[in-house]
Amino acid sequence: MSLVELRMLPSHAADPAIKSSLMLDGLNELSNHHYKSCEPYRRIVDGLWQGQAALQAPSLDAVPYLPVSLFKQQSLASIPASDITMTLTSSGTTGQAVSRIYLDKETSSEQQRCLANSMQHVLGPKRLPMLIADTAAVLKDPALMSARGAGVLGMMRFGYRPVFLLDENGQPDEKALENFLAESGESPFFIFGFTFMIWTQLVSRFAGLKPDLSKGILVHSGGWKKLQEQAVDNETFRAELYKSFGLSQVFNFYGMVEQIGSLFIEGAGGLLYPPNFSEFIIRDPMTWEPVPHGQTGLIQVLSLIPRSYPGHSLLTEDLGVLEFAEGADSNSARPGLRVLGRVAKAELRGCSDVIATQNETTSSERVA
Amino acid sequence: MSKLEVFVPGGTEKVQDESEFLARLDQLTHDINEPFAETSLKMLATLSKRLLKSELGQSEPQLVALGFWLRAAALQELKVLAERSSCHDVRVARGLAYQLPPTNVDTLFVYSWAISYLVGNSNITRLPTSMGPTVTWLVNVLVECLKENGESHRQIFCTFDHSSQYSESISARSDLRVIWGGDAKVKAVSEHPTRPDGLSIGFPDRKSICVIDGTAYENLTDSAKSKLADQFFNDVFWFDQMGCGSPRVLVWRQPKERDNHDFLARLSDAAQARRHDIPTGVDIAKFVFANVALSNSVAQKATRISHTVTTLTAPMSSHLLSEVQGGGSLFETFVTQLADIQPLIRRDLQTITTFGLTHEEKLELAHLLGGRGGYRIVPIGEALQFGHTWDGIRLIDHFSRLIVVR
Repeated sequence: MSLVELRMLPSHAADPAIKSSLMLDGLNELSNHHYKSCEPYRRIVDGLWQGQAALQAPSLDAVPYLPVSLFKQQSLASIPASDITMTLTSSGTTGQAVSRIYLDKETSSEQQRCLANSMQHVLGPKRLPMLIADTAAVLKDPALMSARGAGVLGMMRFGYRPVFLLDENGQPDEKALENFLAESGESPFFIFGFTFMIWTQLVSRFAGLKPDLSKGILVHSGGWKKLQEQAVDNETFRAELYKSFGLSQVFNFYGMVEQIGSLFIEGAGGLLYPPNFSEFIIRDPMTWEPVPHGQTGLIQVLSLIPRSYPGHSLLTEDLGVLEFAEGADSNSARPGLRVLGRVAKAELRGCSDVIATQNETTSSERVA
Repeated sequence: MSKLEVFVPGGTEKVQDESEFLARLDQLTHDINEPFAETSLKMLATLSKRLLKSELGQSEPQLVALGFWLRAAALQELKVLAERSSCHDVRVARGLAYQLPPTNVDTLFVYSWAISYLVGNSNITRLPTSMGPTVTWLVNVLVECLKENGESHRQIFCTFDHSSQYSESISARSDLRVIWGGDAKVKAVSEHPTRPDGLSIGFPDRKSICVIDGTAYENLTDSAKSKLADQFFNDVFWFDQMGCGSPRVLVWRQPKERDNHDFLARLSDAAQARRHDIPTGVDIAKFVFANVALSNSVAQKATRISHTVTTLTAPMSSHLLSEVQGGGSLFETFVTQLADIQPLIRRDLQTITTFGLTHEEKLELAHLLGGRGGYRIVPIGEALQFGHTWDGIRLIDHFSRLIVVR
């Protein structure tokens, strides 16, 4: 099993050649598995790819891929309905279609192991006390639950004694923060929040307080769209966190519910690095051919985790670049991903008036 | 605060006094003009010249098409046609026409308005609340021309929220109401009555197809094949393939091996030669659409020929017309004889563009359409060309009245 072999290797550090060959074997095996077990997947491979020949891809970029939005429109599972133990949904604006991802026992425990593996890479082997840049209300409000709540809940497994920075009304809970810091003393602790919450809540509302977060390890995700509107990039973001709180261990991550358990975590050069059992390919926005490093294109993500649903190879709607950290040798160094944002939504004119299009405002945030 | 805004040169003016505005509309029923009055023809000729000379026309071919349609010689032809069809009767205006053009097709509102204007009606046209730069520009040119002609008061272009009471109030005062848009819009607007003797015409959702004879295609020279593909480009890509006349299904009658692919590859080349841009989001949406169609078994095979053209091979089914995905996504289906397209002749079928059918075959096809759907059988390249007979209705005749004089 390529997945287990790769998962057992030191996190985010597999030898590229070994990794790539194990990945290819594993992905081809998954293509075969889904072809046999998921009828809609088989129809797609037969109708849009070269049928069975496509199941033995000679290279990673030849593995058939599904568009990530397909999971919003189609129910795709490679397991009988009776084996479904969990259905995950993506976040989305009310009224918007959400992705539905079906997990059985095997895939859900595998994704949790993989996720834990990635988180350990950042947080270390021991569980740490946890600070959450959000409100506990997010876990109770059904409207928020699909997006922020699920993300917060998922991350709460990797820390203990969770403390929320905002009270139930969304107001800064300074007392809670003070108590938390007093209790943790000189020990490291874990901070989690969505990127925009870190900026609009932690940075904007707590900077005056000057809390010392230098022992903190911040993990954040959710996309830069809202921050880009305020011209805040990763560098500004990191500089501000260091200046205001002495916080230097900051890890952005990129992941999506459609490829659950696979987190691309920020590393050298501020780039995002896939775990051992995942890979990415950048494709030309027009030809969809793979492009060399440094060129912007659509991000395709590959992961060995999805077995209960055919999500092992997905073409996302995100734009990114494959880069090497500055000073790194592009022959030996691992490539990293820079995510540049979402492709603009399709807007088509027509003479048939469409009523109620106001739900099409923003794209869903990507969370783990 | 009034929610109704009237377009004036350079912008819009809020209507302050609602009841005064409605009282003005009451007067417009009588404030009409002679059909094809010299002043109207002159005004449209001026508009035509401005459109044809505009810089925007370089990048927006539909403005040129409109300008061409409005040129003096073309309107003269229309006048002759109207005179011929009125025989010994006297054609007069109906009164006040309420025009509801579609939200998204940039130039259609001018065609519909112009015919109504030509037959002498006063018009109040409701434009969408948010408009693209092309439409905004076009409305501005139009209201400028009208102002110069002293007709702003009876040729009103305005905008208001659909949720407001205006549509009801205007309908109650209208002698003619023309609703362009989807089924839902026609239904919603129709809930409000016009004047008891008013005429309301709805142009609801329509979809279109293209039929090509395989042998006729095979017999074309190489350059003629490319030219045909180039004409097909206009049909498919104007209005992002979302116009009522835009073909969605391409029916091949007995094509030779690979000829269908050859044609679509040429379509893709034509799009490239014209530097037609397909936004990546649309390209991905088409890919999603193809994946959905395959996984549902609606289509059996899909090919992304290029970022502009994706084809889906599917068995003949009436369902193909229901599948909507614009921006260069075509269903392909194969038949052995023309009568096999019957499943596609649904109530909401509009245009059948054809290549390689004999005139007799087209007449036969026309007779198949009665009691079902389908309104136009025109050559490839003319799918989106506006005609004064639209969806089976002679607009000049319906927008005016005939007085019998004996």
